[in-house]
Amino acid sequence: MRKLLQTTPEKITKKELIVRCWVLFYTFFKIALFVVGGGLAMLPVIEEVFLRKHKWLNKKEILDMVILTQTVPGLIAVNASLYVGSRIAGFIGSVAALIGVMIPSLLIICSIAYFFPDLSPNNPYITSGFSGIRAAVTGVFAITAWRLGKEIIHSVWDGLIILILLILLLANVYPLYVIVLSMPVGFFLILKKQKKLFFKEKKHE
Amino acid sequence: MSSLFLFCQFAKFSVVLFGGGYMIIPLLMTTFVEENPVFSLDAFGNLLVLSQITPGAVSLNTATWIGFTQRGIIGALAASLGLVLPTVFLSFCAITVLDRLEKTLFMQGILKGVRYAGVAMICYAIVLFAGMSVFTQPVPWRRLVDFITAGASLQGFAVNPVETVIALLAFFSALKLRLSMIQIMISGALFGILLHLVF
Repeated sequence: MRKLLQTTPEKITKKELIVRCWVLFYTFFKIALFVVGGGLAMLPVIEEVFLRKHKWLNKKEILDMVILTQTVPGLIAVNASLYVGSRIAGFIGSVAALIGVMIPSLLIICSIAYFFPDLSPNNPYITSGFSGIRAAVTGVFAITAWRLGKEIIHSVWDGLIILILLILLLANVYPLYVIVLSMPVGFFLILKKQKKLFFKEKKHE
Repeated sequence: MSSLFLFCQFAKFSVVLFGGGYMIIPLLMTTFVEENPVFSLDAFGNLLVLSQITPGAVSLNTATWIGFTQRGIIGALAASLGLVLPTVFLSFCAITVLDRLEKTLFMQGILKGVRYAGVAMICYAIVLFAGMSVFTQPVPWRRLVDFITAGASLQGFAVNPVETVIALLAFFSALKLRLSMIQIMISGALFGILLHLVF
């Protein structure tokens, strides 16, 4: 457990630790306050600040951060802030960074929700503006699906698996179960591939 | 809807969100519109859209908003902590073993499978959002089958021409012009107001 909490690479003084925690909190607060577009849009800004400006992280650690956001379930922004925080100032640092990421959301959303509680207003301009954005979001999602699909679908089988999962979702199966169901499928495919490689190696021998 | 319920729901969601927040949309839709109808479809669509165009992590914004509408500040805190705390625990377990974890067969299998689910989930999100914009109401699959096989009437289900044009424009401008997501959404809003004034 002790090893788990001491993830900082070098020993630092107490004063330095406080300074680092403050910078972490402040930076992540600023990123969450100004970067629009979710966690993926934040990653380049994090790299800019901690790799180029402060030089507290190296290239390998940035790469590890990206791997972590894809391996550990949860929001990208949260995963990234936890990793960067723990590398720079240990456990306290990651708590500071996490609080920095969360506070702007709480402040902005609670104030919007407090002053504009009506989510389906009657003003025709606002209504048409909203339906315009919803249409644009449909298009943006279609682009994301297109790009992801191009990356993942290599054969008819890949397409078929996705189609079956989509039909399950459309048939009102609870989405959580669909995600859980997809895990053993992936595991099975990986095992099959490994087996094939194994036999190929044997033949070579 | 109690704060504890909100916390548990969002904690449950956060454990299956691999590589990004858009996977949460179908989950939220099922939980907060269909199973516990606390939002109308229209209001929920607006909520999702507003959390996309406000700064910060998108799912965190959505969670905070849902929590706030249900139980005020306490609810907002409960929902967003629910979404965050499982990740804190899991990533601290993962940071120490990251190099090995990524290479294990078990993790590779899960990640491969979840990637398929990710594409399926975003396709489903497209269908959901199309039901709120491109079409006049959510796609009625059963009636659609009847319509194709027996020619039954599709009462109330039609295509909105204005929204269809905006969706297509958004798709092609993202593909060709490489505009950012926020630029596309703001132009979508402007186009929506303009075209509704004209037609």
